[in-house]
Amino acid sequence: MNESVMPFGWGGIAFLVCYLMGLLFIGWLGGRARESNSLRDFYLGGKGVGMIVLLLTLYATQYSGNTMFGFSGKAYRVGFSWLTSVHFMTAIIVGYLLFAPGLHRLGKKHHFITPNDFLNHRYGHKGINIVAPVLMILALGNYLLAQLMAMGRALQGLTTMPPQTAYVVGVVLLAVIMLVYETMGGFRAVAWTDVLQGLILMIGFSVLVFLIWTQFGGIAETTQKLMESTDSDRAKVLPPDPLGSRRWLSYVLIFGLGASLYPQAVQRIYAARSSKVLRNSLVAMVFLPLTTAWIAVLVGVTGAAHFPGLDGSQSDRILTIICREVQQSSALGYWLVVILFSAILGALMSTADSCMLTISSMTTKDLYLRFINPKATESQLTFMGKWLSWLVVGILAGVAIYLNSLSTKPTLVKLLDLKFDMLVQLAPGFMLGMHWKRLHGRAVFWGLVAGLCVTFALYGNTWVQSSGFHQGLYGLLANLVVAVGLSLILPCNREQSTGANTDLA
Amino acid sequence: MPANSNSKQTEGNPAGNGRFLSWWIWAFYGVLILVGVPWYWPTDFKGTLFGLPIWTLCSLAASLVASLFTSWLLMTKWPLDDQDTETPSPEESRP
Repeated sequence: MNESVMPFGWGGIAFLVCYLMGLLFIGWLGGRARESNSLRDFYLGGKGVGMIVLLLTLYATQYSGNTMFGFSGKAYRVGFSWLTSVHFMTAIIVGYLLFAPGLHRLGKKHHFITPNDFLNHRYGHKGINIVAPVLMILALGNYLLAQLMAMGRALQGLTTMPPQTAYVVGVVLLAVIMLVYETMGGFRAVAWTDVLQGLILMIGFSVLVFLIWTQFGGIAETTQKLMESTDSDRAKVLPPDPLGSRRWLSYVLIFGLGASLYPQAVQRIYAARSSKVLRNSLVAMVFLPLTTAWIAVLVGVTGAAHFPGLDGSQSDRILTIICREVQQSSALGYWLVVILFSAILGALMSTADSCMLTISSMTTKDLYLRFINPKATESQLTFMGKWLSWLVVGILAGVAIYLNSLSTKPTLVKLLDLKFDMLVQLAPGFMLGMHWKRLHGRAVFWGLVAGLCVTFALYGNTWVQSSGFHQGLYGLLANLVVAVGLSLILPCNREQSTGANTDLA
Repeated sequence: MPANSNSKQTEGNPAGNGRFLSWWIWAFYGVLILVGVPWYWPTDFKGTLFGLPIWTLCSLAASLVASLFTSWLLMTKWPLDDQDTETPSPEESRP
């Protein structure tokens, strides 16, 4: 039998079915709680959510299938150096300091729904109104694709079906469940299911720590084992070389500036019931990398010591392999793995459903309403948004299945990287624009174009790869030079002296 | 901090986030990055403490300090001024 497969008995399957049915039930409750058939109600849950819901939905959204599979897989490949992930997940919260307080206040005041609502309010530039939503949709589409692929891989490890069949079933079944509860309850369904998924995720990470200590003799044994193994495995406990350190710094910068602009997280900034609720949630969030990303690193390193020899995307399955080992050890191990697997599904689905809802909101409000049918009613837009989710997920599920059929499968972290190179180009528009009144809409637009051109031109460039820094950061540099330079050259326009900027100063 | 005093403090900067722009805040984050990224350790350093390589403990400590510092900033400098700013939603009057 394939060692990465851990077929569940009927008890485990029944637990998972109950869990998935529970998600549908919560989605139904979310639909019943609907206050109006408006975009704000569907995409932000009306007047907003309280601290516990906000914290758990932020947590479940930001810690995803990438954290459990991708991070543990990367730690398997590079070892303790993937402690980078703890730093960059913390950097996201630090990045919020630059714009979240102002964005929340403006979002409440002007009833923003999508991230681009702020950009439109601040700059009113047609080019930005086209490029920014398309950029965010592409970046989120990439992220959603990574989640769908991880769902397929999760089910591959769960059944004795042929791997490709299990993958297709995993992608389609879980995507349909997400779509059903999202269609019923919109943001409420997504946020409330995130509460359940976030709680199970927290329990799941605690279970992982327990398993590492009891099953594999703790981290000291792991470190010792790697120290005594081959050169390539020994490198996993040694400090990174200069190139590795530069990559580390690059991750911190690109996550701090790019991942804090996750469109779904920006919508949660709008959705916070009050500024205090948002602040308290962030206070808790800033400690979670130490209890989440760090545990994923420990799992990967433990896997490297005890199950050496996996390559590329195979290493993304290290968590499944560890689970199988534990599952076979005792009845307690079996049930711990069932809980852990529910947490994995929760991590995947909670991130995917948030991406799906945000893509739907941006397509509907930023593109369809603004450029195609400005007279559409709220109920028409809500109806359209629901069906757009089905279309987008249908297309991406097809891509996920196609990618898995390729002989060289992309790793999860590679998919994750692509999105930040694009998202970080929005940083000047949000972060600088929040503080610097003189920042001009035209300058932000051309900066964005320049940043994207440089980023894509440098893609795959060997010099950039050897420098250790993401190409998105070179793009951001070009972006900033153009945005700041043009803003200093261009005269202040009417909006800058009177309009939207009066909100800023 | 009382809500009124907080609102007054943000009047000059209704975006409400200028408080996080002091140079010393970002200088401190810079120091944390310098300490947290393990560029200064020899690449063949094998010392361990509590079962972990010592360099990872250093990086973890920097991360913990960053979390504590950020939470302190959030608790002391975050503007709590959104109670008065909400206006009726235009959507409520739309069909």
